[in-house]
Amino acid sequence: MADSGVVPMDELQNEIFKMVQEDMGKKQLKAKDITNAMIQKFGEEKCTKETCKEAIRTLIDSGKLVYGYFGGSSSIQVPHKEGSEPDK
Amino acid sequence: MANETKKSSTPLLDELEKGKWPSFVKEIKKMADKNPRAKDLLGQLELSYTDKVTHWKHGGLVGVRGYGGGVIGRYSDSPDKFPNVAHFHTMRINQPSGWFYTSKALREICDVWEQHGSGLTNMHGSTGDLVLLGTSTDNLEPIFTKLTSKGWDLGGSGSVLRTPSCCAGPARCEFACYDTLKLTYDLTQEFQDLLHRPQFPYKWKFKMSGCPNDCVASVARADMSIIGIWKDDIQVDQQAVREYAKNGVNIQSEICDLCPAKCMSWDGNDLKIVNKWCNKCMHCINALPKALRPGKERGAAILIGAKAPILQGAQMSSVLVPFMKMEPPYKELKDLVEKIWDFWGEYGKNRERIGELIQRVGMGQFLEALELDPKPQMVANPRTNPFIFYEEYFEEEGEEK
Repeated sequence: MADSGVVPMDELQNEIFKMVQEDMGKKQLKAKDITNAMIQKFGEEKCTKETCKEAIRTLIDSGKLVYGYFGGSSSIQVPHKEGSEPDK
Repeated sequence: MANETKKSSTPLLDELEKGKWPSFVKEIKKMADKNPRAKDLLGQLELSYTDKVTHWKHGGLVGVRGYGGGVIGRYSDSPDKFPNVAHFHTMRINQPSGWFYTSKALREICDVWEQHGSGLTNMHGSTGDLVLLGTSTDNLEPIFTKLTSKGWDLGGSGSVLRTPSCCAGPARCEFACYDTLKLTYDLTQEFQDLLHRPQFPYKWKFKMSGCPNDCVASVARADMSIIGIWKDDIQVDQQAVREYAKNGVNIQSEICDLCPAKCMSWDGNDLKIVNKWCNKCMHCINALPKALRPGKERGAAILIGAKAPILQGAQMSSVLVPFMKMEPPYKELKDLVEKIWDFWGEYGKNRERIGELIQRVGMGQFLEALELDPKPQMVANPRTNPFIFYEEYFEEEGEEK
């Protein structure tokens, strides 16, 4: 398969997931932070805002990542049981 | 007899039922008779008034699959005492433009909500959404499925485009200078993805007002206020003005003297307006609605940067585009909005509203990025130094030297 010059979608998704997982509990990542980090990692020729947007969308839709919310602001996180959630 | 001596379990909340005005406590009590969530809500609220501290924990991961907005997580910190409000999440439902409902539509929502939630609603939240107060995490997906099957959708929360809202516009108001309902619907459909998937540094609010009366208070709340305005002369029916005068309106003192631009004069027979001085305050039109009307060349002024005091102080919006035609497909407006979002996405800090960003980088740089020419109307505070500097002036100065 010829190299199209674009980072494969599954590789991009894996990198995004890894980044979010590593930053859990340290940083509230937004879509913009992830996009900028991926463009820096792969270079603008191989990774664009649009491909990052698509990768994030797929990860959210599959449930591997979720949106978190606090104080009117959102972030992207790995699903987990929240500290504030009472035990059943 | 026993009932007469029985002490109320909510003595502090009972105080809020006194007086002639509506009481949210009264409404919660009505629902508490048939809904255990509402009953425990009363108990927890009474405890909060007793302890003088909130017993809610806010935020979290709750939501429906694929959406990053529309649900605001809320948990009780005393689930043992109030198990029915251990989860008490809020759902925001995208309201119809101008808040026009049929009774059938309202019944549909209430039926779903009484089945899966507390039955308590807030009509409407300050952003404009229809707010459903209090449900548990496992009920979110069933509610969402039932509501979407009936044509409803969630509104915005978090770092998203918040649900656009507007005044009743031309549906009920003769002063509307553009179709606020149509524009609100159009923007809601066009930017669906941004409404549901957080992609901004912080929240973004559009509010559409049909005229400078600004009934949705967009100038105080919206990141982008789209306020109806006219470009030509105020329409005057001199005979109707004379009728007002005949019926006791003092045109000189009640109209001309109260005009902030002092652009009106009354000779006892004709009302004259120097339209180029008019600042569109709407006073004369509001006072003499049968005699005066906005001009015929209508559109909207685009203002930017209002916000309530969350991280920094409150800010009113100021003019960005003094006049824009506001007709479908609204290409000029959408192009401008996308340019602003690009700039904000690039330079905005986390939790920084657009108004704060403009203050931080300066209006000059913001206009340059948007490729807009500075206009006198953009000066937010006349007769003060606006502190806008442009590079070409420095170049010219340098060349002369």
